[in-house]
Amino acid sequence: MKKIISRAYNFIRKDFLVESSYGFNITMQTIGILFSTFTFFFLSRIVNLSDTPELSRYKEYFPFVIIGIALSNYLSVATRGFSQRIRESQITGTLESTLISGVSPHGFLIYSTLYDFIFSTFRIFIYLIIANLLSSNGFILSQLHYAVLMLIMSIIAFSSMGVLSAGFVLMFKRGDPIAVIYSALSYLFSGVYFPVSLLPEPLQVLSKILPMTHSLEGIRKSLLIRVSLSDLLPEILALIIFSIVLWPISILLFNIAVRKAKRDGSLSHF
Amino acid sequence: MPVILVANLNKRFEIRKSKTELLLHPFKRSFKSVLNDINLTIDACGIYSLVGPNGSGKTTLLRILSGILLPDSGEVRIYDDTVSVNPNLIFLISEADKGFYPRLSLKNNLIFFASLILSNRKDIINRVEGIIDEFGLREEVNTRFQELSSGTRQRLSIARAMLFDPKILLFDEITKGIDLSQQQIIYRLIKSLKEKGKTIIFSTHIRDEIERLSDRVILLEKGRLVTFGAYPDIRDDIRQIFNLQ
Repeated sequence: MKKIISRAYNFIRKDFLVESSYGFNITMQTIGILFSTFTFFFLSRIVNLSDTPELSRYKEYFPFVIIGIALSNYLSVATRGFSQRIRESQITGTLESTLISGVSPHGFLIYSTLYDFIFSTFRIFIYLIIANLLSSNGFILSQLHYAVLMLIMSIIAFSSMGVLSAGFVLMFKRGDPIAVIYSALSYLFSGVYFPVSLLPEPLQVLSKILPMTHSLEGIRKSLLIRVSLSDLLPEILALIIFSIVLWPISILLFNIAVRKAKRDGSLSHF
Repeated sequence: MPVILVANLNKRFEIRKSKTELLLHPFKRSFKSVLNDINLTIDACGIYSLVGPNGSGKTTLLRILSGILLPDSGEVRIYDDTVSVNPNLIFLISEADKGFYPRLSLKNNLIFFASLILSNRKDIINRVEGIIDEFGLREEVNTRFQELSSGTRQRLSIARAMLFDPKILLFDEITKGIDLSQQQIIYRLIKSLKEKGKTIIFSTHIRDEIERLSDRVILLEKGRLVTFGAYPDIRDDIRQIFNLQ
């Protein structure tokens, strides 16, 4: 256990040192969050809730959309982060050197995305703090623990797609259709910018098979509507089912990809 | 007891098809044999040079011994165990330009790799400090990897391997692309590692390296083991191979 914690800490430390070596990188990303938050703040003023009854239960459009944008950051890290880290490490040769140093491919995959998840959590909190200050009703902070629970469940469900996509990159080196298609569908059909109920009915069915839909609904309920834990059960159950179905498939396919790469000698190819 | 035992080892790689071939024969696969029925026994403590022309299978053999590449058939045993990645037992040092984080300093790169085996922060720092002094890297501890010279990168590669203190070290063309003075430093390092009881296998094209460093020579040609023996005994075979090139 101590070894796992030490490795996790040192992967995070290493990634922080690399990121911070790029001067204003972290500062510029934080400024970017401020700009997009204010853009949606002003944009939300033209959204009239009385014209869109689907939004009325959330009371305001601004916190609704900010939760969508903030969570899509996580989606991006979870689906693309794994494959991006694999690809970067193939190019620098650090994938092979780390594996030769005794880290398993699965360990490498998890350790190397920890920093991205931590930084995304930081970004989410900046979004939410600013949105809380700017919105007239604010978030229901007494239900923050529900939101954290939903966030953890979402990371687990989203990451399965990320592992699948990392396996794809190991096998085919470039092009990651899994992450691209999955992200595009999630952005359009999960209710990032508008409620799913605005979609035509057949497309609403499609939205139900995307983990992001349930994750967004759960977090919005937690922060914008007074609910009890039992009200969140449908979203929690949906995310558990996604995780139970997707994780074994992802692990199996990733193992096949690692085995193939070790047989072809292509772990360090890119 | 042999530290490495290789029996009937075979490895082949699939040949990438051209777009035309892919259209004409989408399901036909063709392979190139890289290692053919290799049998080899390596004893502890010594310097073995792995010699052969380009494409003779040297790198493939070293990668299989390190556990990072799986063989197609045959058996590879390290200290009587089936080969697998185990940095405390066997470590491959290759391509010095790769495998490190370019924007991290020399010291931070070593700290990162040391943390993969050690858990205690104090132990990590002590191990890294010791290795930095042992390999004469003190002057460049804060220099980013991308700004290091080729020679320093090679020494850093060996230093990283020694963080794990493996019993067997595999060097893949370690002196490629570095100047003569740096080559001498690497030679001295390799000899000092032998004195510490390490078993060393290094692949090379350089005849001078073979003569100066090797206790025994493994000669490969077209994926087959041509000969294996003490340098003076097989000197003529080596000369013949190199003259043919």
